[in-house]
Amino acid sequence: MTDTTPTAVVGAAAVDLSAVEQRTIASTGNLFVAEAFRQIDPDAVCAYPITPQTTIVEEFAKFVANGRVHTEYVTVESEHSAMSATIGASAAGGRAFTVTSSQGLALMWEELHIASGLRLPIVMINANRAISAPINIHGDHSDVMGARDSGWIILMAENAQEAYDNTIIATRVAEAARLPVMPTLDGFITTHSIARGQVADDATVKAFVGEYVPDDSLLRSTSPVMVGAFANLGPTYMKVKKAERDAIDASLPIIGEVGAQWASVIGRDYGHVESYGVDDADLVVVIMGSAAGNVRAVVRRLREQGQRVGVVKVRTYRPFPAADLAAAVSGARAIAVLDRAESFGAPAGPLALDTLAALYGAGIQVPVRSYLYGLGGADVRLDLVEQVYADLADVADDGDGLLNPTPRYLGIR
Amino acid sequence: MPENNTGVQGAQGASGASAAPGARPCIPTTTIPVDFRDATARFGDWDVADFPVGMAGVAGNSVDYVTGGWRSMRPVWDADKCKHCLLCWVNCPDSSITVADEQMTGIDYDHCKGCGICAVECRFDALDMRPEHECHDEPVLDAAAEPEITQGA
Repeated sequence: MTDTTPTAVVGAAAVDLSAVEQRTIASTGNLFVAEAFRQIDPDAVCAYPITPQTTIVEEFAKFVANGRVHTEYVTVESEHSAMSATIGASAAGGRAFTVTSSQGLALMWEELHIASGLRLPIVMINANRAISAPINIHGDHSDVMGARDSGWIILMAENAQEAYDNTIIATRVAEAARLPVMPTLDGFITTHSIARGQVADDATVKAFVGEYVPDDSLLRSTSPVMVGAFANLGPTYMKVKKAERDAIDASLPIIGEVGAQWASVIGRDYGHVESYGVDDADLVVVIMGSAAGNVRAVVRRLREQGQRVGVVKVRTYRPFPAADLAAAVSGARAIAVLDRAESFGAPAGPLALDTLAALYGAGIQVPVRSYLYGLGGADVRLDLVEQVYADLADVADDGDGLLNPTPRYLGIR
Repeated sequence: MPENNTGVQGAQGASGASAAPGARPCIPTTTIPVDFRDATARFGDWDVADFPVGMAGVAGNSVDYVTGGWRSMRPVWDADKCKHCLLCWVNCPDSSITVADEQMTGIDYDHCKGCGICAVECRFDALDMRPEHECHDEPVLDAAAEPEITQGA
């Protein structure tokens, strides 16, 4: 019987814990990510600039130009080519990264499925931004939700620190799960605001991610492989897709294990969901990304007033940590799910749909309210969040249905 | 299932504490490439875990892979007219003009797509493009004998 526990799958982190040094810096989220890229020193970065991720590739280009990394930096003429080149570099056997946002991620759509279908361990940062039209360069999750079903592991950062940590975690998750990983951070709020955070020393990061040795590659001269074969008629295609489903399901404990290993190195926990005040909470908000801090601030204030409220932030979005989320909200009398992206025509926002499925699977039947907030970078004011908890209090007391018929737009009448 | 495809879970790489420092961790399925040229392989009978990660295959090549079946027109070579200038060989995009000792020997119909470039380039009318069906013994479909398709009841 082969051991398939996460530790066996992931392997141990080869970090000398006694030599770990962290320094506290103030920087934008994008520069935190660029710093992680520099420390990981991938074999290839194939990228095209797009607001609000541009400063990541700009800063990394400086590292390349100044000889601080060994990376082959491939400039391309579009995101379609960026992902194509990244796929080529990964299939050839390199540790290949890219970065994108919004329309760029949309332009990559067909390659996203090829990257995951070929099971290439690519890491791509996405700076979450609205999708046209109308044109808008600010932060929401519309772009990520367009890539939601493409077979990528998706990690959602709340702040610059998480964006940095997730980039390092993603590198090992991708290679252990043999799946592409998309760590994301919210456009402008996280990418461009200067935040305080800790950066580990180069040797620690290099030891943690280790040397990448691909299982197979186009350029392995002794036994090269063919990549992108035709899955003929009959069940072959469906079997390969089932293997992909099994792989992304199996990646959830891998993400947890790598997150736990990184936590043991730098002392910051990684959980698929992060709960605040939920233990005794009647009213719980579920949210992802930068606005989680706003909700936490409101929860703190309301709890000081004696209200039993809490918030659950989802960090691992794909694969969806349904059991973790259901456990976190199991005591709630009413739940609000705040989505920063539309799923036009769906019964609720995308995160709300996932939450509903998680609750159903756990046999939890409480009223859920789906909200849309912060589209195109619209402000997530604290009084709006307070309004959500006030709404939830009414819902918990008066019922009025298990789910609102269409998502409520927060702050918009 | 072929013998070289074990489908063993976690067959490769490090495991737990025995991992070499910095070793690439193993993955939870087989990484042995499959030989898609194996005519005896019955992929329909394989289990999900039998397929290599990402369906990576043993590297194939364009010699073994016969692609001439796309052709609707074929170049027919007249060796008596041929002066062996090899303009056709130079221009053929599929390397389908066969040559030995600097002399043209024929056409590789396993790979010729019937594009006709060779016939256009030939200065000596030694290559003639003919409809593919005229080059086979099989009868051409008689359209008149086909049943008529009707719409509605």
